[in-house]
Amino acid sequence: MAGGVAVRASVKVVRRGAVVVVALAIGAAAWLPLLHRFFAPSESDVAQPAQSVVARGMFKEQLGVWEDDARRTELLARMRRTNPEWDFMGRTFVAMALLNEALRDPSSMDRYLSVVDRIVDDTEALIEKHGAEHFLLPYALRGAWQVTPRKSIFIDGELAWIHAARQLVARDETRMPQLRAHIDSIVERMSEGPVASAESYPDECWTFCNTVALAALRVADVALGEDHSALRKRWVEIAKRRLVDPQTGLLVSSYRYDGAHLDGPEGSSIFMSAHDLVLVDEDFAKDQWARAKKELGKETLGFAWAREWPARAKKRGVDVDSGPIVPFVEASAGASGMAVLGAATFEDRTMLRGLLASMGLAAFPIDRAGARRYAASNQVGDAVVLYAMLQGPIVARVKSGK
Amino acid sequence: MKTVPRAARVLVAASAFLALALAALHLFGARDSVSILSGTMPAGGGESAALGALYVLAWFGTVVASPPMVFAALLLTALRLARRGSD
Repeated sequence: MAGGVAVRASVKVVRRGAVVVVALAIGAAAWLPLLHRFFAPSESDVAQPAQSVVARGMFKEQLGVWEDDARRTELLARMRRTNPEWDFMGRTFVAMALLNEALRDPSSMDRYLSVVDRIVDDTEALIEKHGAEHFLLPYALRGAWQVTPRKSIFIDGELAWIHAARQLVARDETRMPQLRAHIDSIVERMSEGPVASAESYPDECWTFCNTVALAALRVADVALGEDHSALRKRWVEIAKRRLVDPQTGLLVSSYRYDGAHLDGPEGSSIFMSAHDLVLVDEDFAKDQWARAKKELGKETLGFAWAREWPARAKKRGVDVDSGPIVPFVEASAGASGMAVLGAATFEDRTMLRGLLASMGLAAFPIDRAGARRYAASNQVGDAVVLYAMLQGPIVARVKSGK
Repeated sequence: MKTVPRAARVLVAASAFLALALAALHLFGARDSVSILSGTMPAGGGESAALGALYVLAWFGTVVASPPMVFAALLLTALRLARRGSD
């Protein structure tokens, strides 16, 4: 009899528990589809990213960082403890954002150009003083470079990109020798490479860096009145044959100097490469964006994010490029930030809206005095998103050939 | 029989705890310390990083989990009232 009472009590507990679980499931089913509404940007912000609340706030923040030496020094020092590349890339993306904004708002051009020039001068001075290794991971000094003296296309490519865009916005003859030196280095090393690529690290060619260099060449061609289209064409032809992952058709992230694949496609790399390729081979760029979105992009309940690796790729651990990865949904901070650049470049408004909603929910925006930064991010992460929102005028000017 | 089921009271209490924890952490400036999510150590070092991690948990608990918990509590209470009405 006592056993019967105990069984009945157990059944009651299980039934009550089941009712609570069902009530929670109903609550979740009612709430989760609404959640994105609290974080999604407005339609006008998505239609005109450069004028969005996010872009205007981030622009004010990043401009403030580069106009406040003490603050910038502290922010960059904290990033450098994790990855010195981030210091360099943060400079690049802020400079490129400012150059795009200088074309969009000519009345503020002088102010923006002075900040760009300060960024470039400071960066070139640091390289002059400490060597390019100042902005590279320590293994740059350990391996055997295939081409000597060692030079990283990571450094040359991004500096050439800024210098070329700077000349495109407003010609400055005093800065022309620096552009010339970076372009000559890129052309020489990429032309000699067996797969038309130059090393970022010892016997490591990164697609990210080589496509930035190719985009820089295109911008420089317009700024200088030159023509390096044959080199760009050769790279694309080789890339389609030898540098794509056979499973996904996406460009791999890194490869040996001879073209042997190292890392497969990565979200932290491919969205940027697709953006760069717009100035190299637009059809190939669109193809890579479409594949990257299919393989790495995720959209659900009004939110969007990107994975670092395709689902069918071999599982790998978190690394410095992917950033932390959210379990189960496999959202990568690095890939998702770069996906904003892809979505903005290829005007994928649904994806852009979802990505910005995700940033509102999970990147912890902090708005102070009209300036916005994302607390979960860092200076380079914010700079990438800022550039994504402001890019456009430089590409348009290059395409117009003026 | 009480009007509000025990499970509903627990759910509401848990939601309130999460919201209060979030408010306290926010006032303590912990939102600034979530940069650990990007692999960047916050300005205050290890202690700040721990606060940032707590903030992340409290934030998602409050924003994602709490509303379904409150909704479930209301549903359980409504069920109890309906059952009492039918008895």
